[in-house]
Amino acid sequence: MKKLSSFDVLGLRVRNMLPMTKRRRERFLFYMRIYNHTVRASANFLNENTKRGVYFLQIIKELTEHTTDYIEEDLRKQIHEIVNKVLKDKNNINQLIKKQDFQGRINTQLLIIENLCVLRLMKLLVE
Amino acid sequence: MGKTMDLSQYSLASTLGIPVKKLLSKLEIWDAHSHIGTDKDGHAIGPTAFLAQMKANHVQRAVAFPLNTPDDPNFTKSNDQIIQIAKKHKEIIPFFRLDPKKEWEKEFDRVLDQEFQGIKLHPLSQNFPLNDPEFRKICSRAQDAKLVLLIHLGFGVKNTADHIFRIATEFPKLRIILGHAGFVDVEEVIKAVGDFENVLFDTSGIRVFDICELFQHLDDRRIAFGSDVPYFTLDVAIYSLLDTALLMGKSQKAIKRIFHDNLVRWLT
Repeated sequence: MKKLSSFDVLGLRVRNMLPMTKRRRERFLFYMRIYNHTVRASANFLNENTKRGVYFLQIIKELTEHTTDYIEEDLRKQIHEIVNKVLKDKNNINQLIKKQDFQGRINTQLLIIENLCVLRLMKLLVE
Repeated sequence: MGKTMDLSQYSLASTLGIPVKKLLSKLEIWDAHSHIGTDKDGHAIGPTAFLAQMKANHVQRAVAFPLNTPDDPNFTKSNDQIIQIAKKHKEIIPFFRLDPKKEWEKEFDRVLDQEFQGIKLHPLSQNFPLNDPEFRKICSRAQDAKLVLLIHLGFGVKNTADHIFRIATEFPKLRIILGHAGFVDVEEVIKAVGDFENVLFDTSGIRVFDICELFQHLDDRRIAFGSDVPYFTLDVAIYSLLDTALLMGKSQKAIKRIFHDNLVRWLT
């Protein structure tokens, strides 16, 4: 039997605990995933582990590439643009990340994504 | 960044039945932390773009200072640009930057009789520790000149609480804005200077959870809205603060203080 991913498990928990429609649950998990990968990317950049940081950003990039959920379109685009902006420098990140103020700049960009996700999650919880 | 989206549709406030746009248009917003110019890291924003962002987001006035400008080690050119912009646009509250490792006294004296209302210092970009004797001298001069001191206490700055406590105690008349609310060490900073009347925590570039921390442990009079433009977007900064304030049950009076009154008390 295929092992469930942590997000699938979380999805089941959310379904059991919160009376959400399928669409809302999907949205909830979508932002949880992005939030989680953003936090991981950020932690890796802080530890100068740029390869892993870039890896998690690429996952977010893929996650936010397209959506069939038009309600989320604007937010998805904004997150996608921020990730693209950071990844634009991906070939130089190894050198740049050693400069602490550059590290701060990247993490500030990721912090915008974190806040967008948290705001959206809060709204989804009370909708 | 591309076309600006309408963040109000995603705002928690709208779900709570609060007319967000109406609320924002009525709420006076002053921004405690923004930059104009070009940074060594490539970030840039000109006055026209910034003023347009302010207008779109109902921000009436903003503290603005230079970025970490390339080829301007003592910030002379960049400080001049800021004061020129402020003379043209009353919305801008001009702060100047200094490098404690360069000839800062010369620059301080040069700009002293201009209309600057404060100084911005960045321990990381200018690579100085918070116990640097030159930094203390700047604090002393700022206190004498009745200038507000805004200090970056965000990413990359460590062990901030003790140093800020010493500075705020040693210079009790110096009004200090803690840039990014000292979020890297926020619990300790709150414990150290949270009830100091000469200290304001600005909310620029911080996580929603850190905003919760500020709301939970600080008097509303100690918190001021800040954006960190161009690193952060003005709309996300506003909605992060507004939604968290509503979630934490802050009154309209408290929200008004945080977005406006607290900064107005210190600046004209």
